Amino acid sequence: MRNILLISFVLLLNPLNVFSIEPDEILSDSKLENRARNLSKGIRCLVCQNQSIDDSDSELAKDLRKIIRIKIVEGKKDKEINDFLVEKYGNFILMKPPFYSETFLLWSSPFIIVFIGFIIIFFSLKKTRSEN
Amino acid sequence: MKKFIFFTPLIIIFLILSMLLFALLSQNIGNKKTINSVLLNKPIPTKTLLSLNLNKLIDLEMYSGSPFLVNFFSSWCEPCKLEASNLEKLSEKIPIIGISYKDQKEDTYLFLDKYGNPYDEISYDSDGNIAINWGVYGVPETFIINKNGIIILRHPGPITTNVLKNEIIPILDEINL
Repeated sequence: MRNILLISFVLLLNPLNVFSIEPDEILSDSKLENRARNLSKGIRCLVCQNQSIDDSDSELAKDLRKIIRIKIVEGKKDKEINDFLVEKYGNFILMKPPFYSETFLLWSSPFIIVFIGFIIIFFSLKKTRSEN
Repeated sequence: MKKFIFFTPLIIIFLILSMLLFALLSQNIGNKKTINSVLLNKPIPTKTLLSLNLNKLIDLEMYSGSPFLVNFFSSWCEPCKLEASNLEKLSEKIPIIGISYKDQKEDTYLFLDKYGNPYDEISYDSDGNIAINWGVYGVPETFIINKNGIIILRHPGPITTNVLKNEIIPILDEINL
């Protein structure tokens, strides 16, 4: 009984690896399929937004996964496929948007905050020393 | 007093960051459609389409010279039923090309019988590839194309009376329709 509870607990902690991808989508060539999976992980599901198309069950995600596989089989390179999707849906379709003027704040905010933190520490230390 | 001096820069920084975030978000809200519509102000991505009954090719370039509208729809899409009457009204002003999206052909014909057929031509996108080519998120979605074959408006969602009045008609007026 204790073991069953333990196994159940472990299973609850480790979510089951359920794939949204359907068997008919999978390419027979495992190398190409791996490429497709890796590409899909970097493409945002536009109708769910916080998921990649690799994780999403939506119709659009399914269609995008299919078109990625079609283009891989056609011999297109990863960059060409990404560029095609960006051309149709914009940079927003990428899970990691590239660095450009509109995403400046997004990419730079962690550095800005750390920098501000250092300034605060510097001045507070300076103040404490001068008081001592 | 010491605490006040220590927290003052923090409060100022917080206020600056809040203002930046607010400015960024309000910009996004204001330009919601333009941010998502990368095909806006670009030529139509598809020049020819296969008709619903598969017996002919629809040459979209034949429509060049005067504006037209492209509408992605489906019989299983509830909002498509909502916009049907407004599309009928629009069809009196501008030719509409319908693209039946991931539907059974029989269901598309039944849908048109029931809710009316505002389309000059109807094409069939069985696997969703045409929709991806047009950067479509889902149905219904409507594009206005000007006389030069350039997409001048993309409207995701149904053409409600409000959208018709405040979004579509002003653009048609602008292009003298």
